[in-house]
Amino acid sequence: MKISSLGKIFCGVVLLCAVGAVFGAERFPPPEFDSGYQQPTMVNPGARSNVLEYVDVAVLVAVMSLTCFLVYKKRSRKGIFWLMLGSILYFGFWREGCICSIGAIGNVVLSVFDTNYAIPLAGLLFFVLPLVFTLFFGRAFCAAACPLGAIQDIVLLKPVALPVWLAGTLRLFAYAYLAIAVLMAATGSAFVICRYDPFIAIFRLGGNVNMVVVGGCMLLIAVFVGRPYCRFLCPYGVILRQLSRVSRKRVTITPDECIKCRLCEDACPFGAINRPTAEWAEGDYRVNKKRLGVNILLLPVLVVVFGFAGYLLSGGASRAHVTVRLADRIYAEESGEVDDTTDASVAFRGTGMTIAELYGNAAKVQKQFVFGSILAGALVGLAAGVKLIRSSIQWKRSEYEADRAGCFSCGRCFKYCPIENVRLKKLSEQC
Amino acid sequence: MDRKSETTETDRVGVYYKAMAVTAVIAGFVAAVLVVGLTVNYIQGKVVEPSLTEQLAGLKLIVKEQPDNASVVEHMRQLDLELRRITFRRLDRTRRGSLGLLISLAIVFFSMKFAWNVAVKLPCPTGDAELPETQKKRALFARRSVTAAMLIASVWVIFIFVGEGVDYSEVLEDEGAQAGGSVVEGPKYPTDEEIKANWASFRGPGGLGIAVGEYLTEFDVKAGTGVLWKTAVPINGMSSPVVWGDRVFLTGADEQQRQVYCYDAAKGDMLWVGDMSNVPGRGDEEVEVMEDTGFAAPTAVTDGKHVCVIFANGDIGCFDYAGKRLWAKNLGVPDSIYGFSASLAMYQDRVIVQYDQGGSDENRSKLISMNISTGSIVWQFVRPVANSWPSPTVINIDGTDTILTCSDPYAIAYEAGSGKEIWRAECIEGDIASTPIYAGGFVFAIEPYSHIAAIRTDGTGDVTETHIAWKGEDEVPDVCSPISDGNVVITLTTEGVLICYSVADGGMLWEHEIDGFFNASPVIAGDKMYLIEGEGKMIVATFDDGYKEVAVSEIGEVCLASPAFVDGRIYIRSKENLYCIGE
Ligand code: SF4
Repeated sequence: MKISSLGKIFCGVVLLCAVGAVFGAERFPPPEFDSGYQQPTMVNPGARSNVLEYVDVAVLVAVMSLTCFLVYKKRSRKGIFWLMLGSILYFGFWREGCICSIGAIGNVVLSVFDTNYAIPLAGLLFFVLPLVFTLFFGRAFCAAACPLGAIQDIVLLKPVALPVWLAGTLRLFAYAYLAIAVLMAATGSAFVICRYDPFIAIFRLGGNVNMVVVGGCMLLIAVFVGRPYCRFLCPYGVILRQLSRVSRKRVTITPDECIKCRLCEDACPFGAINRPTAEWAEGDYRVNKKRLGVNILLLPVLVVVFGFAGYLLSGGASRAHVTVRLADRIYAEESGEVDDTTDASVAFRGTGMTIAELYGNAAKVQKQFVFGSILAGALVGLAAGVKLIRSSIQWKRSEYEADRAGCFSCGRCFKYCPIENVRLKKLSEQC
Repeated sequence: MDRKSETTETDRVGVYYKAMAVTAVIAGFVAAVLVVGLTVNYIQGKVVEPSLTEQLAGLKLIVKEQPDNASVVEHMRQLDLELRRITFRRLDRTRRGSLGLLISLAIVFFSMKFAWNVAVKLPCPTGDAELPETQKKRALFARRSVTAAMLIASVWVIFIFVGEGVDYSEVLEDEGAQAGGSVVEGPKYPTDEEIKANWASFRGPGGLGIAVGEYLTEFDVKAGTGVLWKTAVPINGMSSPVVWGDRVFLTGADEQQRQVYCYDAAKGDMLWVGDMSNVPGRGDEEVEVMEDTGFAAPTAVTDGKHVCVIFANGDIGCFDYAGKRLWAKNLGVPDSIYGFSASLAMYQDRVIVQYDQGGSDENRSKLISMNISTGSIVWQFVRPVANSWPSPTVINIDGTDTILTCSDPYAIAYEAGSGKEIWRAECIEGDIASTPIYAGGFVFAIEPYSHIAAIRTDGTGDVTETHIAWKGEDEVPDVCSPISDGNVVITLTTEGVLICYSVADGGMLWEHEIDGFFNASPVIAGDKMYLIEGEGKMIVATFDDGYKEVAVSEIGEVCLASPAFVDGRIYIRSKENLYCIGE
């Protein structure tokens, strides 16, 4: 049997799994007659003890520290692989994907904008610690501590290299997602990152049917495209990318000097290996400089244009907020657009709050959305503008190196380097 | 490495690869079987269980109708148990199957991964290292794709999302402007004294049918004595007149038109006609009503600045005293077998709508409180009752402003401000039409042809078993509402039978039969009661010492609406005219 046919079987099975996994949770109503059975009183699960929260933090720190040791000292892909597996089991299946650093963005943002909301210390640490580690050691968190990254990493079987231009453009989604997530959290509308976490249903072995399907599809894509969520959607990854650019340490493909043997050229399934650059003709430089100038001038224009687009979207976006949704419903009922009522509208009418008050609250939320959407749009414009500028710069590199921002420190490329193999005594120096 | 050891290494790799591949195939097979099993399980949930659920729902309905049928109840319980067993067994299978599937997929995956690692060959780069041209091309593609993405995003923004949603700042500004521009000024709602001094809603203050002051007992339409004026009403209706100060309001409607009439109380001149056509939200649904009900059975309500009206098709609207329509909307055509007839009531600056429709288990009946000047809904609650024909009344009971309603199967009292239910009594069934009254510490609710129930008002929650003080079962009316002076309560049947009960204990004090038919509810003024007979007679009698007729006056026209009594004047609506009786 060839690997490729095995791959096909696997894909088929994963697909079927997606179908199988949609058998979501169901509830059966209590009997509508008196059977003598005493309904147990409803109890809420108690809060998880604080100690266990700090155990989670300790595990996170331990995993990230171990990752750094394995990447920088041992240069061991195998070690990282097993560590990833451990994270999937602990942070994924055992902790059911919560608490997580990516979702903590929402909590942190809400705590900044809503003085009544206090983020638990463990949540804050989950947000901050990976950032600190990244500043010193690159994306150690993505390498093995993040269960979302890890589950995609270990299912990667037959990587398809995406063109650099396509990967770069798709990355804009992550910026847009970050902007939306921050906007929604800041306005108290929703924690979209948690709500649309594609892998949560897998870690919890059930859940919302749509999310099970999305998670299944994402995993299926991850079999061929390295870490699609991390690269093209993860809002936390956007922050980590920027910090990783200035990290003190960075992954090196070779433990010594690069001999440009090109063996690692296609080793990275995430397109994070930069090749040495060639010399350009003098004329090309001049043209490129001009282009760079134009793109720099374009940057503020893009920020303004996208900010304006954000403004245009603010009305629709504000409907994500429960107050605006309720106001919309009441407005529809009042203006005769609808004949019926909903549980929410009936409950509202029972509160004694006047409709004018509700509209007033909705107007306040809408104002927040206008401001927030402009900023969110501007952020996306900025990301697109910077991308244009970066693609107009003629970078100079003399050897193969891991991209500071894009490298997940997975350690796959190490074994492709002959110098590494010499170090590991798998090859003699003469070879 | 010599040739032999090289061969051994190759063999070892081959064996390892094969073992992994075989493991993957076996686990894959197990996964496939589990998927099939889960699918079958799923289909069972989608096919078998719904049919059992349907059967169970059918049985529940039967049990509702025949609660004492032990065999059906037992059958329903067995089926319910069976359905639960099947469901939980299936859920259990799903849980275990999913876990098995996950494990087998993990085995498939890891075997494949290890087999792949064994088989993978190190890269062997060919050709030249990257050329400047390739790099330039890549950068060009990157710029183009970012530009294309931005263009696509812009188009998406323009076509899909722009202009979505209502701008509530604008809505508030508009409403503010409207309120500022309205002719309606002054205090927000009338005082209790003002309400008592007028006849603002169906059956007057508190819906009690009790008039303040002295009224003529006799008049002569032909000779013109005692008739202050008589004015034609353009379109007929069963609704009663309401009066505030110098204004009298009536409604009339047929299949095509719905109108409000405002008359000068002093001279009877028609001051304006309010039109209720082109009401927003009104669909094309046909409205079917019984001839006896008509399209304008509900009586209007007024607060001295506004008059609110409602019609059989669910159109509700409000006019100011200059005849300007302030707002109108449609509440949806009510599903009422005889046609909608509940009059509007008023509490402070709100109009109360008892919008009962459909069956009692359909959750379509509502009690709605709307701002009288804007029509905005202040609150509305679903009522567990069937379509009905009485009107809600608002009255202060033991310090709480209360809305009283009667519909099959409940008499329900609500807090007028919040709409919160205070108590309910399951004591009336069938086609309820009589409006409840509050007198002598009791709420009186009438089940047609069956009984009048006296409900004590100091209860909360379901008071069926605890607060029904007595029931009177003699000659119970089907249309007319009762009257009471606090000591006695008097009922009047359509056929003209009057029964007088003692409020305290329900003992029947007297009974009297009048020749004629009655749709209009009686009114008490002082020590007399006023009855409007359907063929056009006004009968006045005393009631505290048995029925003693005082006078009978001929109107000479069919009169079906309850009269209004204000300030020494009686307003009687006949089929064609509005009469004002007084000195
Ligand atoms: S370590 Fe970085 S450069 Fe190397 S394969 Fe992993 S992600 Fe790519």
